[in-house]
Amino acid sequence: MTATNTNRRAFTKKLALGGVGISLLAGCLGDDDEATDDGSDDTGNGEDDETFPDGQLTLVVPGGAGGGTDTYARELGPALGGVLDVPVEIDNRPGGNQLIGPGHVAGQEADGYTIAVFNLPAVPAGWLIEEPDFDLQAFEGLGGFAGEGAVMVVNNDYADWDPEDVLDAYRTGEFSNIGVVHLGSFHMMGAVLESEEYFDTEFEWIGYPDAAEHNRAVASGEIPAAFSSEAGASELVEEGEVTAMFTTNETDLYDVPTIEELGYPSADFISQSRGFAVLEDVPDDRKDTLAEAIDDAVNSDGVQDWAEASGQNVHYTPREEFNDNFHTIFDELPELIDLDEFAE
Amino acid sequence: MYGAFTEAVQFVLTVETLLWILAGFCFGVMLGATPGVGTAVGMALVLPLTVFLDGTTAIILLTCIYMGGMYGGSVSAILINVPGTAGSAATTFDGYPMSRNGQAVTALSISAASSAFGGIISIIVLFLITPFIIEFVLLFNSPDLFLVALLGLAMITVVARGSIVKGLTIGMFGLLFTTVGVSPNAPDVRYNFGSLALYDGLDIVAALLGLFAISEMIKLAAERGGIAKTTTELSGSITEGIRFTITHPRAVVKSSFIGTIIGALPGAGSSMANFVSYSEAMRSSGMANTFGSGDERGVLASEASNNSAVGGSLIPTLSFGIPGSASTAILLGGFLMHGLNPGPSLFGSNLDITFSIYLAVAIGVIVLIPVIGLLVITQLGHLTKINTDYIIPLIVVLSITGIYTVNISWVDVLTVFLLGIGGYFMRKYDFSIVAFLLGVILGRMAEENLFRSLQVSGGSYDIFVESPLSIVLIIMIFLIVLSPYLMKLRE
Repeated sequence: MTATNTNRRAFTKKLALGGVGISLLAGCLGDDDEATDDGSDDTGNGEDDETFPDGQLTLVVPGGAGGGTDTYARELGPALGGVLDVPVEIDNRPGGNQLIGPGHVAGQEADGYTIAVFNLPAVPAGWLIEEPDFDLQAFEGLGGFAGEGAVMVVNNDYADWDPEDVLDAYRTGEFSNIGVVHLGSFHMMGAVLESEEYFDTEFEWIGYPDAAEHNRAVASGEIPAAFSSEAGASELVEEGEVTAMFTTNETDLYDVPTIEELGYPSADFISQSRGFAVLEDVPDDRKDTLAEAIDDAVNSDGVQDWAEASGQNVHYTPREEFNDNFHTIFDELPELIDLDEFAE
Repeated sequence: MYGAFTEAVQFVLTVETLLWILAGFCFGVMLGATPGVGTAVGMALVLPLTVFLDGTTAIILLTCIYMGGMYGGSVSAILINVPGTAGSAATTFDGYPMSRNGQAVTALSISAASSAFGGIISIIVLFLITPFIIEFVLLFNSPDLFLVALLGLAMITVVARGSIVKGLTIGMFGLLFTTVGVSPNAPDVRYNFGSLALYDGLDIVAALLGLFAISEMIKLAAERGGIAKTTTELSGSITEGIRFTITHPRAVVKSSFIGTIIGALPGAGSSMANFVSYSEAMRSSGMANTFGSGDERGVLASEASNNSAVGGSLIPTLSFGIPGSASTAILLGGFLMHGLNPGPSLFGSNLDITFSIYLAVAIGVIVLIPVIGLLVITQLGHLTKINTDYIIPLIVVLSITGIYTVNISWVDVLTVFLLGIGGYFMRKYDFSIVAFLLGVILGRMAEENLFRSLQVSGGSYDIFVESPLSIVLIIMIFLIVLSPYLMKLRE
């Protein structure tokens, strides 16, 4: 009896200690949205636009640390901070089909201190499919920093085939499976390329978590071909593990024809691009300041030297062009792809 | 090949590189030993700082953090029942009971010694298979990966002591846990109640923290004294741990091979490696009842496998740029940031870089784990005498801060609490936590590869018997499922 009472007292006491710890912790962690709702003092956001920015900027990356978009952000963030003379924090908000990050930015104050990093067309396409409870169209693009097209790679058993032979194999049913990053930008592009205007065929999409895995599957013969990012397949093509057939855009990485050179319409408009965006309610002069700084950062010697040394495709897309591309996707993608069917 | 090796030796055996190896390893051990944080967060923090280093040194630094973290995870697993990384979860099953019995020092020294041997064996394997590494990676396709996951799930019949029905039931709950969120191959979102926060499902590390840290703290809250029971004295020793490891060479080699091979499978990783290795140690012991109550073989099997899985995980990462875990994803980010392309060239024209990474890992496992592990870490065994009045709030707060830091998601915090309570009752009513975790860890891999295999085959199940490797795996699954009955027949 005594032992039981002692245990119960000990249990209650320790539970109370744990509770105090958790309460303190909750206070420390707080809620990001609440913390910035009542003003901007903690980020140093002054109302005087002549001094914008006078505190830390945050780049919200919709992917995990170490991913493709994150790698760019970690190189561009310090460059942007250098131009504006403020610190820049990288805030990884992965998940939710790349919508957690933009959703977080949508919940912040429209003061220009929180900047979303977008991957097009995947982010708007994901938003159209998932219909989350924030308005992605309330964002405005400030400039792009990277873009690349797709390359079709095939297993080396078909290295002697020409691109039309491969496409005919899909049209006649000899091939059906094709690898792609599930719901990624190139999945959207591939869906467009199935149309009558382009290849006039149907692909059986086999989803993989990343380009490296579907390229490995092509090399092993699990699937005959894949739509890969240009950069993602270049090493394997160069080392002879897979064979490139054609690209969607002009590129120096491959010595193969583009879709246009094969006689199909240009596919430039469906390339993947990455860039920065803020809420459109951010004051215009702040958006101007950020857009100019993004231009300077992307074209800075440090970033361009890194791009050249690392083989990353970094080039500036002007603000208007990037913003037009971004907003066009909302109207045109549903015209080009039956999103309901695509999402099944 | 010889020239590349010489270049690598010249590069690694400089004071500067050796200091980076030491710094990375020590930082990794600290991260790994901190509940909930894990190595990926630390590697992400260090990644931008590596711009000042040359590419190979940066990759070596990140790899050493990864390796140190994997070893460090065992420290908190043994001392406080909190796996610092997912790869050390199985270490808790016998390491923590050893601490409760006053043998923390022995458990920590078994962990250090078997981690060192496991790491050495995986590095030897890496050197030996380097000429055939691409062929090795191309060997495993989606049907084979599904069968490997099924093989792991079949282990439930081994680890579920007592009622097989209870083991299978709780294992199925583990599988159910992984069905929350978006399907791996289709945009179907399950059980998310319209919330994006649940889109990617429930976090495995949060589940581990709940099941181990919180449930154990609830249990400890009703006790007096420290983690080591008040009636026991600290009795273990370093030499006892080393002697035990050296006298069990077969177990060390087997666990190391399991770790290396499973670590090399895309999507598998150290968490699967250490559960499969632990389960195999139980199966082959023939005395499964001692496992879970402080059997040294459990610690040895888990620790040899998770450290060898680090070497194994480098195989798909370096050869095809396939990240098997969050840590290797950041390692790949390091490659990209420094203009190094992971791929076949790392086993051809850039072989010196690959050998430099191997050598850095070799130095870590041959020198650093034994020196730091045996001389410094084992002294932490005395922490088990500290009163739980101080331990409980610290662990609860560290667990929650750690898990919140990783994904900045309150869903993870809720998962920790709910599974903490669930784990407490699972123990109380004798449901196997190992069986539950096998389901949690393997569910996603099994679902993804089953779905993809059937997509590739157009719905035909023949794809699972088309390759010799698949047939071998199927035979192994049958043998494991039938092993409890076969053992009874033998008796």
